Amino acid sequence: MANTTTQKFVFNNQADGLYPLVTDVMAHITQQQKTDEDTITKLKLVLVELLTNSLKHSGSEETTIEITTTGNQITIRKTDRGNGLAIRCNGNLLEWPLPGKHHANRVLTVYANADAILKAKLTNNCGLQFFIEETEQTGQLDINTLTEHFGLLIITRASNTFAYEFDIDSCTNSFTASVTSMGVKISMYAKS
Amino acid sequence: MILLTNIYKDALIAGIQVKEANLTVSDAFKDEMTALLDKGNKYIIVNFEGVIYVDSSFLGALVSSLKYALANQAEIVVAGLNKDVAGLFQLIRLDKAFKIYPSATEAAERKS
Repeated sequence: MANTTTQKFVFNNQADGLYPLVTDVMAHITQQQKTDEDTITKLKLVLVELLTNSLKHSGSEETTIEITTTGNQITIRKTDRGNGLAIRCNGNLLEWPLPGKHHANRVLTVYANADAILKAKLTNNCGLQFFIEETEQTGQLDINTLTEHFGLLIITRASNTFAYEFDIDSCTNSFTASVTSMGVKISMYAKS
Repeated sequence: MILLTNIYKDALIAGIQVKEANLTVSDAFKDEMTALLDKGNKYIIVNFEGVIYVDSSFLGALVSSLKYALANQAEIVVAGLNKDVAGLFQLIRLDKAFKIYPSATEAAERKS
């Protein structure tokens, strides 16, 4: 049975607090877990973008990051009660929870990049799972088809899985990402 | 000012003067890049030496500048990326959009 440890960090949702927090979190993770350099880079990218997302969109004063390590698995949980994930479907901004039923497995296009489309599959009326659909690139890259919005794309690419969930009872928004490296599975759970 | 510029051979080196290339400076960066392109600079090396991390907002501004450069028959290359920033460019395939050099002087020397 693997030992489980949990550590909480508080982000003040100020830009100058972002990188110091990333440094603190990474110091904790590397103390708990022997992790290869590529995974460390990916974890930093995910953390930076999750916290940047809070800075830009949450509208709340404070975010809590909770890190749990269980054996070779690490869970990072970011929690705040800010604005929900802003995602559009057919031009309309979705509101959480989504109205109606039977949303499971419905696929939304979040945005397209030159060589990939960021999509999300709804799990129910309160959550979705991000994934990337690669598009075949022939010839030279067309710069004008590059997106200028990279946050969710970065997290999705840096993770093995990345999901969003809105909790109706607590009115919190959650993001969950997992990263696997060198046979070591690292999961990141973020709630905002 | 986010950028400190100097001319080296036929290139303009635009060195980023902040350690954290994030959403707090991305608009200013984009404005300064636009101004440099409007002045007729055709080969700009954005030097990331000293930058510890780059976020998605700053990357968006960089890509926007690249599109503006292309529309003005100009080129933007990047140099001096640390391991994490280089990993980020590779992760989201921006290494296909930008020529990446170890240093600004090397980027200037290799100007085609």
